[in-house]
Amino acid sequence: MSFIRKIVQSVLPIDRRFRTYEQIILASLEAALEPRGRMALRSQIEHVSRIQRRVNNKEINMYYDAHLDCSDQAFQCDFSEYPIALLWCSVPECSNLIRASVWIVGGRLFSIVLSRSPGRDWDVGFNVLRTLILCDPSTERVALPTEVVELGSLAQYVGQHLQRRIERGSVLCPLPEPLRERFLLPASDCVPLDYYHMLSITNGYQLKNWRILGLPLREVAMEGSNLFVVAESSDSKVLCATDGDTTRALQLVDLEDHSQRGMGTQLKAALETLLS
Amino acid sequence: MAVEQALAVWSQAESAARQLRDQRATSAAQAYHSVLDRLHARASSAFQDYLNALANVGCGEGSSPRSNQSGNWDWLDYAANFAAGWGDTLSFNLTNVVRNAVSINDGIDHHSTTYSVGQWTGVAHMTAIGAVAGVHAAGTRGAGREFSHWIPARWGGPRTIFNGNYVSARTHALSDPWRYRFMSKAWKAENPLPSHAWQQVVRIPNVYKGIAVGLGSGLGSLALNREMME
Repeated sequence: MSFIRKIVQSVLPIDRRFRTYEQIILASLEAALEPRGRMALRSQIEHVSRIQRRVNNKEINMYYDAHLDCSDQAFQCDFSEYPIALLWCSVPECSNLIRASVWIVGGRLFSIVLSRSPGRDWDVGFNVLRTLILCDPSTERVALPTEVVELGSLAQYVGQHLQRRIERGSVLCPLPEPLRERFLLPASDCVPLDYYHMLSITNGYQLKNWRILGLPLREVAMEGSNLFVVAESSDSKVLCATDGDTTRALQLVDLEDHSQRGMGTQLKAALETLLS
Repeated sequence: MAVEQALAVWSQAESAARQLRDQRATSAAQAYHSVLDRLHARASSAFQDYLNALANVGCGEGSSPRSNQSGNWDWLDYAANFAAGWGDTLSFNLTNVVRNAVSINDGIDHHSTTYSVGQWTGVAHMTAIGAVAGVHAAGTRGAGREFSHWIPARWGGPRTIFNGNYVSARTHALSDPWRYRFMSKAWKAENPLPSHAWQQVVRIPNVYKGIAVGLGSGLGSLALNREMME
């Protein structure tokens, strides 16, 4: 039966039921939110019509009926996508904690990204030890800052040579420090230090065909350690930091060939190499 | 007198020269025509041999070749049958309908081997057209285009249009789960990943799709043609 179900799901990948550990994660998130946010989240969960699980079930994406208007239950926020909370979970026979980040897209619950692939034993003994709300729009209004960023202030992070190649008008304002620190939390020990400091000057910019990304960092579920995308190019390459890699090394990932290669531990040096 | 004599001599000389020139021109023309005649004779002979050979091919089961008074097969009939078979396949039988409408279909023998050869030539042409269209659709490297492997590079699949297509990032992500994971969540919310079966349909190199469509169209046209003949 399991085999037949797998075949049917591969052709018609429609699944509407949450697994036990997913329900525990969402229940813990609900409990941590303020009443208004809790109601909105509960309503959204009830309206989920389809669940897609990717990368050994590390990424759980939720979809809604297209004709359903849930705008009154949506979180109001300037970010098109952001992690609403981080949860640290434990499972039996595993000493390391598992991190689950819950993402909101377009004001609605969309994704759960796990730092480890779920095992068969996760439905029994799965526990959420800590829930940290990163950004709750139902209690705090987060507006993206709009001040102008001077290109000169970026010189120490990209160098004079590269600074001249930054597109004017593409430099985004940095996020407020408390929010920045919260969004950086899952990747604070693995992103390059110059990138870490750069985020206090800008939240991203365009450098030739490379887009240096700011916060919130895009977390990509992988079979091994997850990746955090720091920059992406128009010729299908991305620069990533590896979750848990305390050497802070950057990886250049080719999205066509699926190849990876190390690019050092500094974003500036990596960009100079890539643009030389 | 001397002048008159001189004029007479001049006139005789001129006449002689004209005669000589005419003779030369005539002989050159004769030589030219002679060569042409010889070439024509040779060409006619060779062409007749070819047509006879073609007639022998056309003289298969079900064929009804006609011969002219000299006993040679009527090459025009075979050419007409071949062209009709070829055109009927390429036009999905439209040319046959037109021939019927203008009452010139009596001269075509739809059961002859040459008509059949024409039909299969049409199938081959449609397959070739499909292959060329497939190569065109496979695309080339350019801005906003990325190579989507059919057999992934990590399994040894090479980067060639015989193993994938140059597509937009959107198409690539929607047909390659590995590429999909690097898209932003906002994009994923708008674009759920299609089923594995659909991903494979998109990932198959357009060259093969073109060949399949061309061959399928050709065979379909052939079947339609034969269906209408019966």
